[in-house]
Amino acid sequence: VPPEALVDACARQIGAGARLLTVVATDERERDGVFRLRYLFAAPREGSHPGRITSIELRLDAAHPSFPSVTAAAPAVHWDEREVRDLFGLEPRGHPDPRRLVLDDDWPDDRYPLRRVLPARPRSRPGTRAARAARA
Amino acid sequence: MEVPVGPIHAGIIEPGHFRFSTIGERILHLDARLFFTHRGLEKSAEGLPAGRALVVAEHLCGVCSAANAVAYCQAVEALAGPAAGDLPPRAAGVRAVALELERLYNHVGDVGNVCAGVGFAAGTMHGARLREALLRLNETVLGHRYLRHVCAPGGVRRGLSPRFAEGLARELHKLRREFDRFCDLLADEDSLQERLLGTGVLPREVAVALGAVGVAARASGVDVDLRRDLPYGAYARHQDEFGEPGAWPAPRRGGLGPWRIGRTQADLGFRGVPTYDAGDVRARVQVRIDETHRSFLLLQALLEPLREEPPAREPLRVPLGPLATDRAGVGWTESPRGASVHWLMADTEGRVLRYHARTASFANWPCVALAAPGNMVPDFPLINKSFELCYACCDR
Repeated sequence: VPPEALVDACARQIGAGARLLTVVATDERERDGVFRLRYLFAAPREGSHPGRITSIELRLDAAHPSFPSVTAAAPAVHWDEREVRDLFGLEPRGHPDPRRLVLDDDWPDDRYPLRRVLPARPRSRPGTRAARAARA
Repeated sequence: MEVPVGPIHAGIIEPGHFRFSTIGERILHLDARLFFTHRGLEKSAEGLPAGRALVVAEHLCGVCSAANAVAYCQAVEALAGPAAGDLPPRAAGVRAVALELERLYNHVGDVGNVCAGVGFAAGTMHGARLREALLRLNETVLGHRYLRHVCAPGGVRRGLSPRFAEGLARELHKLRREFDRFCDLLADEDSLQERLLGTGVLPREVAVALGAVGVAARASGVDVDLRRDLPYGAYARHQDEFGEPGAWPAPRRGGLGPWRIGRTQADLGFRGVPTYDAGDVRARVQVRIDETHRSFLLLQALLEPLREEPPAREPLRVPLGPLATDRAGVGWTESPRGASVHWLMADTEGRVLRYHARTASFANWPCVALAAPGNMVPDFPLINKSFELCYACCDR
């Protein structure tokens, strides 16, 4: 969905009795230059039909990664949006709580651990010969 | 007045800082600060082959390992097959048995722990003894007290032979009797009942708005259970065990006063998802008691087909196809604490591009902060134990 339709789309899901499953952000700048944010909802069961999963997907511009916060419409996502802000640096515009959730207050402002530019694990493990060589 | 508690606590629990703003004994506001030991697990899964990243999912939480492992495997299978219905039936059955055994030892232990919150030592010890019996049973039948290393993408790593299924069913039958007697002990303890009643109320509207899941939601009148709402694995074959939404009866009163916790009132034939409206500690304890009872019965139903000799050459695991890269895989389970949702995206070489897990504790922690105001500070340990959330599930 386009950013301006995000809040409405989520509010419609909640209004229809769907429940939040999860919120996932991905850094897909290597693939097509954007961040993606997905809100997953589970529609309620109707009679013998099991519930259905709906994913609302949003593309975020890599240069100005921000999106309208859904928290006011669906309070269930308020921790998820704070977590996405901490770990990916995607800014939920209008989120009621500006504090950090996951990261320590001393963590540098411009480092976002789950962006793919930071390696998943150290290139050399501490204590190995490679690490000692790198230090020396 | 401000009362700071933690992040270092007495006992061997994980770190969390609670700041109570109080007026006299009453809590006015609670600010909970968690995530002290964030491990970067989602990041560490990136780049691992999808099969190996199971280790990360399985070690995310100490007491929901089976639920997280199964949810992760379902996410992998959503990308690489086999389709949900094509899992070998015995493997699907063993997974469900592991999930229910996990629910049992958690709920039984949690009911005992609530007794610790009010200083009722006999109840605490009874609960701990029963939990230990269940943990040893886990180790005997599935090889691990906390049910790790049971599940694998495409099936299970360990089967359950007909002889073991038979023995497990017999042991569970015995433990169910003991659990009933434990509940009778709680039912007769007036000081325990008084403390639970009306403590830590989570109103239904708040539970709905915050998207509460699991026991906390069901004790506040929100009738949700992923085993029924989005059936997976062997649960799809046992849907009649869960009845229709809203089928659970209102609590029976033993007189004029409010209802009290005690042995489940649902008889053997009754099926449904235990749900209560009260939203207090009492309701959360009763939901656990009822679910324990339901799990014992569900396990008997799940073990029934496993007691028969398996068809020759039915594999425990089926090989996976290549991982789809054009979509994301989602897997979910109803862990003892509620919905656990795992989301997975793979790259073209079959490695994890992004892994995300949202567990029940992550969803429910904000509810604890809203159930506390209006209560006394000394009741907070009790309220916290009635939610029984995990810190590690946030520090993932």
